[in-house]
Formats: sequence, structure tokens, C-alpha cells
Amino acid sequence: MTVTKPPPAAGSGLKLGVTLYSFTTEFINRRYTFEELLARVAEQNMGPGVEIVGFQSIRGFPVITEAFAERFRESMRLHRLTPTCLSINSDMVLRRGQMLSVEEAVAYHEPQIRAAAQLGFPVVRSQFAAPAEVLRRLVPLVEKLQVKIGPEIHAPLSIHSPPVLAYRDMYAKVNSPYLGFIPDFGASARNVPPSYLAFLKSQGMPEEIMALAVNIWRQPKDAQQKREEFTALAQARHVDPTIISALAVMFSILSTQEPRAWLEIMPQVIHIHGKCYDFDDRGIETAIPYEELIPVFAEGGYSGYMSTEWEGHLYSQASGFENVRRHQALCRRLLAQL
Amino acid sequence: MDNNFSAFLLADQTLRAEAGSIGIHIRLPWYRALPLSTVEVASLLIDGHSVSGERIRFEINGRLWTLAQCADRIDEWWYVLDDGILHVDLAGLTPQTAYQVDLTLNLYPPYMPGFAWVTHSAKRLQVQK
Repeated sequence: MTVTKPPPAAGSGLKLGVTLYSFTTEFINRRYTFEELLARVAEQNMGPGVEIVGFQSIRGFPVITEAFAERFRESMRLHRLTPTCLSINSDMVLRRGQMLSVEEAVAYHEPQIRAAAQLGFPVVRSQFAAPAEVLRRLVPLVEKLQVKIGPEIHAPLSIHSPPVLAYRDMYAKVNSPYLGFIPDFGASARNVPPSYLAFLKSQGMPEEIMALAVNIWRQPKDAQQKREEFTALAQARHVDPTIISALAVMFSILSTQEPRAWLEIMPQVIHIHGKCYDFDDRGIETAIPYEELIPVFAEGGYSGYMSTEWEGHLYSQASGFENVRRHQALCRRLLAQL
Repeated sequence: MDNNFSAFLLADQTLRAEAGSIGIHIRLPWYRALPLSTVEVASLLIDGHSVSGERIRFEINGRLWTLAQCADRIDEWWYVLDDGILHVDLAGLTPQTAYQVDLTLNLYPPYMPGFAWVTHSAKRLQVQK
């Protein structure tokens, strides 16, 4: 399917914000509480959009007390922030080695979607672990609550991966404006972040195993296959499981879809994860081509929010605030150049 | 190999002496709450000696579970800001003495079928009353 669009209008309606996931290090080390993070985001002008991961920011999630909801809405008003997206989880493998049934999965998603409505989030992010049938059955609820739902197209997936195609088929049949997709720009990477490779090296990662992983990562194959291929080869060489785990993450966080491929699903994009890892001296993201992605989303007419999502905390103790600042400076510059 | 959570996993500088056992405080080496069913103590060594799983109880939210019970607990959540405690049935550790604690914790993030997040941490911890 090719979407024909009029020539790009000047500028873009794309709006900026941040997910508190970027501040995972600051939060889990108990340096900032949830409310302190919101205050800091506002103070540093990292909004107006705010996204949170329910199972990170809220104890007892998806149960939300009315007192908590009231405090949250008050924080949003006080700090002039806008709730954009609640990241919920499609935890299909709650029991190890066994998938939830469709009925169980629907029941698992429902309270999370209600939590979004209660807190004032217009969008929820779900995950492809849940089959399309789960979301199809949730349509009456999301339409009633007026909360849009979309799985995140995250590495190793692309818009043409079988699970994504299954959702696109279902969407074409159901045709609800409350169903969409959430691109994660880690799925359009051009490189593995140099800071990640430097970290692995500093931890004593054998260079030949790292090279094996990077070479497989660069191959033009399905990303999930690549992860499995690397894991099998490394296991055959009796590589330590902590090393396999550290490298297998590379395939789960970064893959190489062409930026322009997103145009094909642009009308269904309901939110974006502006993934980032590190920046060079000129402020360019070294792994993810924002200078290509931002113009593509402007051309496609996208006018929703993009949450800056710094994920360097997977391997680095660097400041989430500093990296979010750099990402937003880059995006503002690119938006101004349109 | 260490990951970015290794230094954080063993939360305390000490082993807490309890009646007939010791308590090891640990942090969840992940960004979000997980149910106990997705958490696995892969190995625990004290001064190089492996501790069998039957001698370990895991405490979270004020409740105690054997490691075998943890596998079924899809409704007992470990929140990211909370310490879990490994109670290890090990008498005879000498107070004020430091022991080498070597822990490997596997997490099976429940939206990532087939993926294991393996965190290893080793620290010398002193037994404190």
C-alpha cells in the first residue's frame, strides 16, 4: 500500500514531550520521586507532553486510587504539562513458558486502559506480544473511554513484520479511529550506539563476540531471526549467558528500517517514541537519523506528540536530563529547518 | 559480565544476621515492576560455595515465598522502588566478618517471549547484627 500525499507543507504540527522512562536511573536510584520528576520536566521545559510507564511510575499499577489520580491531574495543571501517552504492558508471558489466552489478555489490558482514562491520557501504548485479536476485542472499551490504543513498532519489528501485518489487516477490517500504531525510532537505526559498544568493551566483552553480534545486526534480514541466529551461535561457542544477554539486547532495541517506510502507515500513527542513546559534538544522534526522520513525519502530516525516550540508562549512568535536553535541542532545530 | 544494574543489585553493604539465617537485600535490576513469576534466583554463592535454592526464601511486600512458590506468583508484584530480601538459611557466619556474595538473578520480562535479562553481582559484605 502506498499513501500518496500532497507536497509537504512548511513546518510540522509535531509536538514535543518526554517519557519519564528517560529518567529511569534517577528514579530507581531514589534520587527523584515521581512528583519531583514532573516538576523537573516542567522547570527544564521538556514538555508539554508527558508520558509515563504505568508499571514504573505507579506503585500498585494498574490499580489507581482516586487520591493518586487527583494529585496527578493537579500536578499536570500546576506544571502546565499535558498527559500524552500511558505506556501499558502486554505481559503475555506472566507465567514463564506459557502465553496468556486471548480472554486472559483482554482482562489484563482492561484495567490498564481504565487507568489511562482516569489519569487523563488520550493514548495508551500496548505491545505486539499481544495478538491483534486482543486489541480487536478491546475496541468497545477504548471507544467508550475515548482512549486510543496502539502497539509500539519497536525493534526488532518493522512495518512489514508478520505481527505488524496481522494488526494492519485487523485495522482495515475494524476501521476504528481509536486503533493505531506507535513508532519507536530505534526501529530506524543506522548504527549501534558507540557508547553501548564502549560500555560492553569496558565490561570485558570479548571483541570477537561483539564483532559477531554487530555483523549479524548489520545484515539485511529479519531482526528477530538475527537475534536468534546470534544467540544460537554464541551458545554453540559456550559464551557466558550474561554476555549473550547483554548483546541480545542490541537486537531488541535497534533495527534498521528505512525512515521513509513509516509513510506507509502514517495516517495510523497516534504517538511516537523519540528514542535516543547518544549525541556527537554537533548534537547529532549517532545511532538514529533524526535529520531524516523529522522531515519524513512532517511530509506525512503527523501532528501528534513525540516523547523523547533516552534509553542509555540500559548501559550507562549518564544523566537522563542532559540527554533529553540534547535530543529536544536537536529536534527543535530540525523542526525549525522544515 | 556485569550489566548496568550489577552494582545496584546487591543493595546493602551488609549481610543482616537473623535467627539462624542471614538477610541479603536486593534491588530489582529492571526499569518496571515485575511479578515474582518472572524473577528467578539463578545462583547464589557465599565465599564460593553454592547455596541450594531450598535454603532461600524471598521476601517482598512483607510476605515470604520459597523459590519454587515464586514461579507461580503472577499476582505478587515487586515494585521498582522496593528492596526484596533473600533470607538464606545459613547458620554459623561470624558477625563482623566479610563474606564474598555472588548472585545471579534472571528476569523474564513478560512482554518479551524467550528473552532473559541476566544480572550478576559480586560484593564482599560484612555480617551485621
